[in-house]
Amino acid sequence: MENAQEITGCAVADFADFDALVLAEQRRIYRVLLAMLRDPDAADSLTQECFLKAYEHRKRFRGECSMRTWLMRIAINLARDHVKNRHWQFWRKLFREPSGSEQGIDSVDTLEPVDPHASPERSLLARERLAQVSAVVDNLPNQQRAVFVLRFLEEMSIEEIAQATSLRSGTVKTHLFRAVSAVRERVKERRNR
Amino acid sequence: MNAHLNEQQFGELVLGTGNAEIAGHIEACDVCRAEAEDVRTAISDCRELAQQAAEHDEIFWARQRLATRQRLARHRFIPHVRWVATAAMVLVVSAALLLTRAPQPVQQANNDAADDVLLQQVQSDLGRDYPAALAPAVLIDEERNSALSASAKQSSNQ
Repeated sequence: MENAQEITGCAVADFADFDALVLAEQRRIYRVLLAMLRDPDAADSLTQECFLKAYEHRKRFRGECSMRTWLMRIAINLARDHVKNRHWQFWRKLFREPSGSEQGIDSVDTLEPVDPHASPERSLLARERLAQVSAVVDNLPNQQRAVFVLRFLEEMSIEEIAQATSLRSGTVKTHLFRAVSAVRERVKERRNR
Repeated sequence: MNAHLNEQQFGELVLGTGNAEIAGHIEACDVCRAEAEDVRTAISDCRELAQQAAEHDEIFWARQRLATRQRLARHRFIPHVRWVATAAMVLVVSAALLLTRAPQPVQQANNDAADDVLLQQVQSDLGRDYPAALAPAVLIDEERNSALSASAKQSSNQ
């Protein structure tokens, strides 16, 4: 793992040890994709895709940012493209299956922590809490959700988020302020209920 | 400060980049302090749940690495296939173009025959004493001459 840390931390990687790179970053990339998409299968597939893209475009990596940030940028772009395609698939499925068998694309089921030993009461409480918390992130627009996830779930700096999302630092901060404001409103609503 | 923190100030506070004025307000304002605490808790819950949801056993990660490696191997192979397919396509198109551009034997023979006929017509036109367009005038002239010579003969006989 130490070797992997060196690979992702260095400015320019030569992809000599591709397996070590995947080993070092796969959890992080998967976690971000899952938080953004709420679809474990898509997150798994896109994590693989992220490393393939990185390998394919390895010559474009010039060390302007860290390898970790560069990988995150690829992941964010993949998630954005996936969301676009998913909207299209949703409409196609809607017309093909008018019975309403389509699951909500942001179903909270996909984020439920797996705990087969929990009691039914505890599971119910956890599920309610999960639904409340996930609604906060779910209702954010895509761009805000991306910067929210990178900042508060991955604890990346504003500059790193700017590099990963190809946005200016000021724009990242504006998105974060709006996201925090949305969370604030949501929390207020919950408290007033 | 009487008003509560606005969107930007609240954002700065949660991001941890707030200035002394914001810190002072939070010290004094119970409402904003409670809101900030609730928002931090909600964000912390989000982080915790996201991490829990992304937790898998080592088999999952090993399978993901294996799948990535397999896709990479396929990916490395596909560009070669693409080059071969492209080269084959270029060859087929070139051959098709060459074949369609070469003249057909029957059509070539017809063209030659038509050229011969045209040349013969030109040759016969060149061999005439007068142009074909003046043929009617020549006929009239010949008839007039023969009529004149006939009348001349009659008058000499009388």
